[in-house]
Amino acid sequence: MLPYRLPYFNQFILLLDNPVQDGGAITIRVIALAGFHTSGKHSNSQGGCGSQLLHRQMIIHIGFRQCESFLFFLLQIKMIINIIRFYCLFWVAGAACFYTENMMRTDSYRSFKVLVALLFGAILSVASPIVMADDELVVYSARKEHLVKPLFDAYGEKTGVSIKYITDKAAPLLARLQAEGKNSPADVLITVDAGNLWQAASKGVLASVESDVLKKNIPVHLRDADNRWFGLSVRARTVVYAPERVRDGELTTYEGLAEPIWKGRLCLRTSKKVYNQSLVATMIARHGEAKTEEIIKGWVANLATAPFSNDTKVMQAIAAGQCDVGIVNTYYYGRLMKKAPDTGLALFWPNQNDHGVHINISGAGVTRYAENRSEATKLVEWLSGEEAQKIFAGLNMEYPVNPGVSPDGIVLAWGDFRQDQLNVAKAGELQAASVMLMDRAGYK
Amino acid sequence: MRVSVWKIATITLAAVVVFPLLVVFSGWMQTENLVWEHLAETVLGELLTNTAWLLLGVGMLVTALGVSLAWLTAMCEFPGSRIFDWGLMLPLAVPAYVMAFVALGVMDFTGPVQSVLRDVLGDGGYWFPEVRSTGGVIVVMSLALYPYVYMLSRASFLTQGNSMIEAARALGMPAWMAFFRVSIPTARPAIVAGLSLALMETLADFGTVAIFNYDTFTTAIYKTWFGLFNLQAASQLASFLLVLVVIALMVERQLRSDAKYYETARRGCIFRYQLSGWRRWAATMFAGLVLMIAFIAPVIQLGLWAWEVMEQDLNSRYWGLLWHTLVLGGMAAILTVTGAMILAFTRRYHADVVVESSVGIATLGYALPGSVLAVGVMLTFTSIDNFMNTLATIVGHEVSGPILTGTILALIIAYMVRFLAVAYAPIDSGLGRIHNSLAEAARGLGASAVVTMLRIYMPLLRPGLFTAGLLVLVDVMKEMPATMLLRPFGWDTLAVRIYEMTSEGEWERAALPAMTLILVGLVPVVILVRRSARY
Repeated sequence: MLPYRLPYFNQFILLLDNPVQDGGAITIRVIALAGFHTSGKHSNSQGGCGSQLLHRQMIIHIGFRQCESFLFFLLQIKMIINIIRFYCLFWVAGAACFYTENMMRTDSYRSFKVLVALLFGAILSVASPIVMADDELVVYSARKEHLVKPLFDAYGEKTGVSIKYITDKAAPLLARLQAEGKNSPADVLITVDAGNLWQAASKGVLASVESDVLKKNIPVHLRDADNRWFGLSVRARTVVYAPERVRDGELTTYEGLAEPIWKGRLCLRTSKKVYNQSLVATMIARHGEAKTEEIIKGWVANLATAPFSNDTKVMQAIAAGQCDVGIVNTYYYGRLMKKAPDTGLALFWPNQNDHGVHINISGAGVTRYAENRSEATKLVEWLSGEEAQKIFAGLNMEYPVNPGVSPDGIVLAWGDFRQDQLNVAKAGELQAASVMLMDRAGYK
Repeated sequence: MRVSVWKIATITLAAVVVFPLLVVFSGWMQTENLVWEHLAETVLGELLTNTAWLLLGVGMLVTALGVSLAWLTAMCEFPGSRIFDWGLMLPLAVPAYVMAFVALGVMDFTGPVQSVLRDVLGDGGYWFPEVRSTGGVIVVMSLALYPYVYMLSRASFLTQGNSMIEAARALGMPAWMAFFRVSIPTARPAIVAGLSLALMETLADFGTVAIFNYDTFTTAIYKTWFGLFNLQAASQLASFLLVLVVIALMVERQLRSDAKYYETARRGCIFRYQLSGWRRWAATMFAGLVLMIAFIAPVIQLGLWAWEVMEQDLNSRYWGLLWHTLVLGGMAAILTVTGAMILAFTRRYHADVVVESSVGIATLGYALPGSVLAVGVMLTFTSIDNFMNTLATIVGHEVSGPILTGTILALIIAYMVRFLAVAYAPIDSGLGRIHNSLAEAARGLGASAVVTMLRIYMPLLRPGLFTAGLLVLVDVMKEMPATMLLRPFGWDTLAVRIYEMTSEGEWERAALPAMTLILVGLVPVVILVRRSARY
């Protein structure tokens, strides 16, 4: 005989209170009043945690989009699954207590049974269907959580729309969107770098959105010509240097860093980072492949040390005297300055006499199969508006994309500069070419 | 022929693993000559050389560290040996990528060590090895991965007992020769199992080499995918990697051929060598140094960094991260160990060609780079979802939305696909050392097959099961790419948090989740290790 009795529901009441139809959604409330207890000499004698009487009241709230007989059928299956799940959860809890007490002790036969119980309980308890409410948006974001969550929170507070999101790198998110096709739960895709947005658009996962608000808020060169994606913040990739070791007039352009005077003085981030791929892509757009390859070879020849894995390391190396000059995004500089104001680095705006500083964007697009396109569009519109733009600017010291909003105070102090007016989509178009070019030039 | 339940279970497991792998191999349905040509012309040669050096270096260092330390702590008595016994397993809780960012932060040109040297000796006044180099990557990865070899070979040394060594010594063999000629060959299945885990992880690693900006074959896969946005070509490269692993494993199996390794003595009567004189302190120094570099120093550094951001970042959300990490790890461990046990038993008692190849396939997931495997699993689930949705549409109902993708179930299965090999190795090597005669005796005395398994095998196998569960638990907690791609909404884990911070270059803020991950990982390591030490 088993040394303990399986936990069971001694009461189980299922209330199906009247299904309310609201906006095509059925709300069914399952109230399960469940009390269960485990008993047995084992757990009692050892004072284990399985002996208490537990009473639970659970309210399961399930919302569905459509009211159809088929779904209703599904609904009942899901309800049964849920009931089994809760039963199993209790069972697992009881078994877990027992397991930890006794597994190590002696008879492995008992342990084995408990192990099997645990396993099935665990599997059943996780087989949960995804249930989505109507006033919800789903965002796939390649922008990191701590840089998007404050925005979503603010939006939720203002409109009552709650936003679910997952963050990942752009390429896996894109692969997921493509694979899910029209079953995708995603409404909005947010990525950093125009290259990624361009890829998303060219793979057909983004919808074209007509919105006067977006057209008004976002300059032409920072959004897609077909309105599939929109820039939301601007990041400038510029030159950072150590003033004490760099003479006036030495710094001129990105291309100038290939000159022999910089031999052994240049630090770069790896070519595997999309920021550098975009920078080189715009150079290809401007100078053609042959000349760009010359320039990149020049950079590689001037490197003081192997390329770093991130921008912060580049700046630290310059500060430590390993090299004199590097190329970084301005917000990394801002972060470093906040942490260590006496680092003794300065920003330089290159190419001010020709095409201007290379800029990139982080941006968003409404997905092609968004369930709620108008709500999704509203979110993107709000993100380009004043309130959100201020948060963008403040959170990460980026430049607002909306010309009507001024940057953060710290960022303003870095001075004004001429921005590259080339449409950022070029970076996407030429990204593959730029990756291959950097491989050829030996830029790691 | 009677169809065995074991066989069916094994084939099912292989099927679960094989679908994602098929997805990866389906990259070959399109020709991607351009990418291959480009790689071959430019970087492929260097990548392969780098990868080969890395494998060679990590393999040698991991074996040397793991086996020597396991022998010392399992068989010898020296100051602190009881502490080192479990202490040396602790680095298992430190993810290799965390070790890498700490090592770079401390030892690179801009780190505190070299800064102090510069202040004292002047700019060119000292010589320091380049940290971001082949040697640096090898050392860091070896320190993070040696516990695999250590754990498995330690368990093997403990269970093999000393009767064979005593026999060898009585026949006049010197101690060191007995070690090399008796102990090591007997422990070989365990050592090889640990080594192949370490090497597969090295081969599939992306996080660590990315931090060092050290280009390996995996780099080419990711570059093709993230830079050229060519998932087909990336899959082709990944499947190429997989083929290499299969060949290596087959060669090893062939070399081992039909030799069987049995344990002879009962445990519990192990005689431990009393080291004396300088040897005692040399042993302590050696074990202490490894423990210091691989665990204590990184943890202290992380602690310092974490302290700086504690107030800012430590909030209630942290409990959520922690909870998710634990739940996912626990469930995946149970499922994976059960799966691995089925594989190991079937292979031993119902072996035929089908079973052999099923087991081979089922344990291949570990050799693929995490992201590639994650995409394989994701594509498998989405196609099932799409199929089911299409079915519903045919019935005449417009149902939309994913059914499996984005559920915990999908994520747990992804973990199982990835880590079956991890759980399989200790169970298989444990099973390999249990002599058939025990089971035969039990059956001869009238015990049923089930009872034999539960009363004979399970108790004897318990150290192996513990090791397997622990390894999977810790590995899942450290796992990043599959978690990122397949987690349900809101199910962030500590590893996800670490990624978000490190990818922005915010090392200090990554230290807090990293530290938490290590501390959480320590709990199972310490508990289980102390338990296994009692045998």
